[in-house]
Amino acid sequence: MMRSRKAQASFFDGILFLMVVVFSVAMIFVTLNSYTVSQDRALRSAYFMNYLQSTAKALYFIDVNTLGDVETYCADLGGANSERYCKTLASNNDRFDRFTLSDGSSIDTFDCPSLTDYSNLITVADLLKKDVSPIVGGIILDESFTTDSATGTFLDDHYGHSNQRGRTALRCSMKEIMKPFTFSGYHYMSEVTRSTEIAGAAILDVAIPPAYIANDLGYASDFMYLYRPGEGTGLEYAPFLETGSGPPLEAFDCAKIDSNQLLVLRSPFKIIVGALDSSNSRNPRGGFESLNLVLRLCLWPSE
Amino acid sequence: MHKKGFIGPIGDDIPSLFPIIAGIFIFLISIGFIQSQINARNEYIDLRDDVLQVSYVATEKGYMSRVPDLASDFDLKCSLVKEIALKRQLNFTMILKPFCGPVNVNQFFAVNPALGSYPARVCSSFTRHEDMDSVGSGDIEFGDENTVIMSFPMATDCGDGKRGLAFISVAGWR
Repeated sequence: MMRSRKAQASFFDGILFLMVVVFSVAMIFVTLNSYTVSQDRALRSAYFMNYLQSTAKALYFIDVNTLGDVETYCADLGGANSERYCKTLASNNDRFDRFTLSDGSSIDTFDCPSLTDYSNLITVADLLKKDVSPIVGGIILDESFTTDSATGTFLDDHYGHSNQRGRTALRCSMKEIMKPFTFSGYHYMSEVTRSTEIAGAAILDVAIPPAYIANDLGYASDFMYLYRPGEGTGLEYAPFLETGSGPPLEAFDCAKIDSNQLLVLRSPFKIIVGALDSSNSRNPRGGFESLNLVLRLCLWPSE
Repeated sequence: MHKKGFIGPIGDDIPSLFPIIAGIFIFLISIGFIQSQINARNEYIDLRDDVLQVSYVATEKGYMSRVPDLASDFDLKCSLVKEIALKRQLNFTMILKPFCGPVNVNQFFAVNPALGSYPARVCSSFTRHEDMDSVGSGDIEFGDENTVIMSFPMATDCGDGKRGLAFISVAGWR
């Protein structure tokens, strides 16, 4: 009886040893599962950030007249079968990328062919700067501008009363540059912000409206603003999206994107403008001052 | 001395030897497998890091002239990247694909450097400088399935004094 119990005890020891080994191996495999995951994420982020940095740099060299053949997402996808980009709206037969004006004519919100007329060496960044510039030679061309205004001026394809299609150039170039990400399930947004220093420490970026250029209608207020010549500021909220399911206008901002994988690149630039009289912010007083603006590019995966 | 049924100090424990041997066997196999996995992952991380470092050099500026010339940006970068890759024992291929307009996604992911009227430039660990202008798609060297490819936007010459959109792709392998 004693020997039998001893054999059972040693067998139990063997089984226990096997269980300990299996448990240890399982723990090692669990640890292995997360091994290099953080490094992988860091490298992926580094790659994406270098992509965004290259994008910001390339915008300073790409001539806008090479973007004249850029088409809408709908055309890129071959026409009619994209629910997202080619959807016909039942109310007025408009598409998301085309809008019918009150006089019956239609405008394309992706009006890239209008860029063909610009001459060589006018780059995307050149047009962008001119678009957001409020003052020419000391004369204020944009009535919305004041020195204490956080918004500066509109990114509205206009420099005073002349057509300077900075917004269109940025939209068309970003659409093509970000195409690999767009078709890989990522959202992007590009906007111009005015950088304001608060109490000598914090930096506040305030978006210049309508500044949002993105590849997703759910985030793209750029699709909501359309230009109507001669009407007020020229900016009008597209009525067919007013009742849409997208977030309200205030939600469109890189800083408000709710994603724990959001990557943001800030590329600062200056615009030298005529200085304004401190007593009356609309009057030029001679001399120059600079506007500190930021081109902000955001990238995040669709959830 | 020997009692009936007693077959020795080891023999009496023969049944317990099976799970012990199985445990040791499983443990050793697992350790071997895990070690190979760790090595593979470390090598892949190192490879991606090296390709990223090379890409930082390649994308230093937002513009890269591609006219076949020893003084063109592309050729200067090619020489520089070759030196860095050699130090890191990295095989690489760098392709500058000029689109000069809309990006064809199919061509973006294709290796073939011939893009209509805008020929691509190729530089690799194996390509001699004087051969780069006449290289065909079949001559481009690529590694195995562990090749890391990274692409970045860039501006380049598009003829008639224009500068348009291009992509520079850097592929690296051991």
